Amino acid sequence: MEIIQRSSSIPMSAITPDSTSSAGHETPLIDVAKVAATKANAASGPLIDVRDLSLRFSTGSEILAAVNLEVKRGEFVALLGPSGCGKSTLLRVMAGLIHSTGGVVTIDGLEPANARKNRHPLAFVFQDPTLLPWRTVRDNIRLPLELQGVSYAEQMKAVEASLPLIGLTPADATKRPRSLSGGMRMRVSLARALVTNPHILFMDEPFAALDDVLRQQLNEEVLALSRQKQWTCVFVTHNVAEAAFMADRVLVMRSKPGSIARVIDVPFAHPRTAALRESAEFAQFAGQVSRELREVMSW
Amino acid sequence: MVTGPTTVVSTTASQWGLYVLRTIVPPLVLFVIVLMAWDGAVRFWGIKPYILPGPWRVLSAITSSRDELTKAFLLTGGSAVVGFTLSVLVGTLVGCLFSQSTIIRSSGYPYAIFLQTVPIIAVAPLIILWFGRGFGGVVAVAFVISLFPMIANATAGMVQIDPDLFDLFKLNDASRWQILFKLRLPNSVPSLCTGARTSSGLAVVGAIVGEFYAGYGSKHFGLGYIIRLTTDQAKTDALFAAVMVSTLLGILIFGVVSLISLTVLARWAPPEVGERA
Repeated sequence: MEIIQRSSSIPMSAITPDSTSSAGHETPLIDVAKVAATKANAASGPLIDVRDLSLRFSTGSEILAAVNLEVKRGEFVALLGPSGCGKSTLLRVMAGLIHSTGGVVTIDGLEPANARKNRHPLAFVFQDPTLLPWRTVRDNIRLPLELQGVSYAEQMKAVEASLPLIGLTPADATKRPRSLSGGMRMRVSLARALVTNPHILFMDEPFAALDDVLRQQLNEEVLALSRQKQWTCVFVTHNVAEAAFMADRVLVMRSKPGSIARVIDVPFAHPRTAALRESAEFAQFAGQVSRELREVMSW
Repeated sequence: MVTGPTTVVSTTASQWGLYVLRTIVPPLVLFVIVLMAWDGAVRFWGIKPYILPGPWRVLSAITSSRDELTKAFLLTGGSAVVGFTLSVLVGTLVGCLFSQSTIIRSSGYPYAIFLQTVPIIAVAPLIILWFGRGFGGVVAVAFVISLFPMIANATAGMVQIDPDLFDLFKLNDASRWQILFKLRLPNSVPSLCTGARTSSGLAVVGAIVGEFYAGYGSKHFGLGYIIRLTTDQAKTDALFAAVMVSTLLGILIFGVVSLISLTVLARWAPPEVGERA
């Protein structure tokens, strides 16, 4: 499988530090330091390495074919593609939840299950909050630590630390999921993911069911948190603006069978705030990604 | 806010009032209508009491033999409750076992279905033969007849789980025991409650059928024994009295189980789930 890598076609002159000041930013849209750091990281090798990956179900249907991709430490990668193209399946294979029928997935040189146990704790945020309805918010958040045999005192300490990070109050912690809104449930799901202090965070369209305003708010919060915690993130979405806002790189997938059709570097600097979405550069970039996606879908 | 708790209490009280109004009043009204129609039919067509006694005659039979009926009620109720409790425990354990492997489930499930399909009237004498006459035999019949709904519902509740939840447990290297006790069992509670409601009624039927065969003797007997005896003696009003008390026992056990289920399920069931006619 050939990976077609294209750099952004946005003219550099259109994305300058000057243009940011009009949007109220203090930081430049193009993160020169990050580009340099990315190049340096490339030399040190990827954290997640997917080579010639294929997946065929027992029914004979080919779900993924010849998938190649690399994710560097601390990088935020978005998998973008039409529904049914295998994005979620690819994410599950990378997390070690599904075994591929061909090719290799390694995390820091180890199989995902081994890497998870021995070196790189990873967390997975599902499309639905997947909370246990009989447990309170606090008990849902501490579940991963409980399963891993962490002492109760440590569990509670970690839960209390994670609550404010994701915008939850101690009063929320005693509620049951059924009394929470969709957005709050997703916050609990995120808190449960970060309570284990993961190195790698896999997210499978976690905000797809939320309204646009809440989605954007959570995009900003999760992105800020991922930068602060230096997580390596793989984020599945079919929303172009979301991918453009959050990711360092957007991998556009084609379907039947699923494979990577385009790799697009996102040129915007961090921190990214709501103002970025209103900038002409962002609209132009999102438009470009949309065009790439349409091209891929028309194949 | 000062008025907050008061509002909550009054809302809860009004909700309970509405619940009582919706669930208890309509069947009571229907019961009164049926009694009036029954009494009217007996009087209008002049039906002989040994064919169909009027409601007042049945009430009189209940009153005159209330001591016997109370003892029988307690004895049959006791064996039904013990049989039902055993079916809840064994059904849940079998559900746990069936949830562990598809092979175990596909091997054992046909035998569980056997419990449902076999005519209890046919096997009750056999069960009495094995477990002896008296309380033990009656409990065994009540247990056998009420077991299948528990097995079926326990298994469904422990197997039909959101695959993402299994993935969540797998990602955190959960053991088989952790999956059973922290996921499968709690997830099956709503199904277990549904099974328990069905089984509770069946346990009463089982206890009465068991007493048809096991009896207890002339000094010590349950409702099944009275039903059989009054049928043989053509004492239709006493038969109706025993049937009425049996029905009351069934409703009482079903009501208690439903109440426990509602209390337990308050942690599980989302409030927005409702029913539409």
